[in-house]
Amino acid sequence: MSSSVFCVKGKLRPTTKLLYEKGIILKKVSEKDGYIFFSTYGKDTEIAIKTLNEVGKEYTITKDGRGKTFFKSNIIRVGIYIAFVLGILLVYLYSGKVTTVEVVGNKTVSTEEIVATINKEISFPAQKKFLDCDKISKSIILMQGISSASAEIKGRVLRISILEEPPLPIILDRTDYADVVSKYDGIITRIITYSGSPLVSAGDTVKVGQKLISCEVKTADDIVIKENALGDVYARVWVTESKVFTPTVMVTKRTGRTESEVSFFAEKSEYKGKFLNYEKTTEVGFLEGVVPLKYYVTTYYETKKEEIEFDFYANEENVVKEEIKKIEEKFTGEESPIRTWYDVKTLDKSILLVIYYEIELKIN
Amino acid sequence: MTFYNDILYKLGITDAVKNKTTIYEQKGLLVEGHSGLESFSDEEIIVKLKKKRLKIIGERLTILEIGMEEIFVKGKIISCEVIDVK
Repeated sequence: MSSSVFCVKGKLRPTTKLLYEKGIILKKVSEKDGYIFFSTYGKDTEIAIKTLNEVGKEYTITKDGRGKTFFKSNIIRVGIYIAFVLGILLVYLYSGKVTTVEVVGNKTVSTEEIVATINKEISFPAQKKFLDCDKISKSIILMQGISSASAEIKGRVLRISILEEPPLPIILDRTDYADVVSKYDGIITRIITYSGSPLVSAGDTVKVGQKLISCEVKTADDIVIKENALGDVYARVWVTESKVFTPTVMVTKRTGRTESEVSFFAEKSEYKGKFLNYEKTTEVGFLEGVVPLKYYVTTYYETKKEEIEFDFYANEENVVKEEIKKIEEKFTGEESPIRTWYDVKTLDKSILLVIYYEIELKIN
Repeated sequence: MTFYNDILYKLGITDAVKNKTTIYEQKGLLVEGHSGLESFSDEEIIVKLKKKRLKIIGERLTILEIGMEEIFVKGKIISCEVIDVK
């Protein structure tokens, strides 16, 4: 409970008597240099002021607990009302509702596509009694690549079971007489011809765009017929990547100042804080009480650009590893790396790193 | 018979009790049924009773609370004496 502190000019006995006779409880009473100091409960402050004014006592209030008491008592009351109304509202909103969609059995058609199709019919959270599972199933079946779908409600989850159509066979176009050409410069290691005439053999050097398998085939009678050239041609290829390193580099550093925002139902898309440059992370959680309530906690980290010195030779090993990794990421993984090497050239103020990556891959 | 009435009976008090003083070890004191404060300092407090005065002597005495009926005094209580009004 909050209290008010008074400082009253006058003698102790008549002043205290005057007040406690009005039913005011005085606390921590003290007297100094002709002034009496005491405190009262916040609720008694008004009566104390009135009493002191009536008798014309000179006084000051060093701490006023009236507003606080009023505020405190009312904020609790208002808080209870708001919490009650919110509780009723949330129970109304979420009871008997489906909040999430679970899709099973899909491989080629993505879950996002299926959910987007469902969202055209209904928006979540949706009342269970208004959900038409047959209608949802039918709308999913109409999607390309899906042969059957069933929808059922399990608690708060709409469960969609998908049966996809088998993949379509690859039909080769044999009316288009095309040659097989090289996409890379390299040395041929293997050539497998399915149709057409091979023009190169293992050990040959080829350039980009060079014809590897011709669509023209000579018969035993020396008649040239055309067919679609098909085959797999593998070659050793050299990939070169270069990068220039300067003595200083700009890096983004976190200053240590953070701001956090909590939002319900949807993530906040706009940042209205103080930071000019920032990085953000978002955590999603559920308040799993009586009702499921999705919340998002977005933390903003203030960042600043800073120029730092970069010693290439001290970091040479890591830098080369990183650059090789970047090259490797460009390939799908079916290729066989043969060897890697690099060259470092010192320029005027910077350093040039050239990575050579030798690989065997399909070049057509 | 209540505990309070039991005490009155044992003490042989038949009239209504106008005031009561309770000492809590040497740490504090409660005066019930007072008529006001006579004087007040760190070492001595004189509380007005109907026809008498209650003189409380102690160290670091503070009036914690004073209301219509009660006075709470905190501090080291050395003595408590009822004196006549001169």
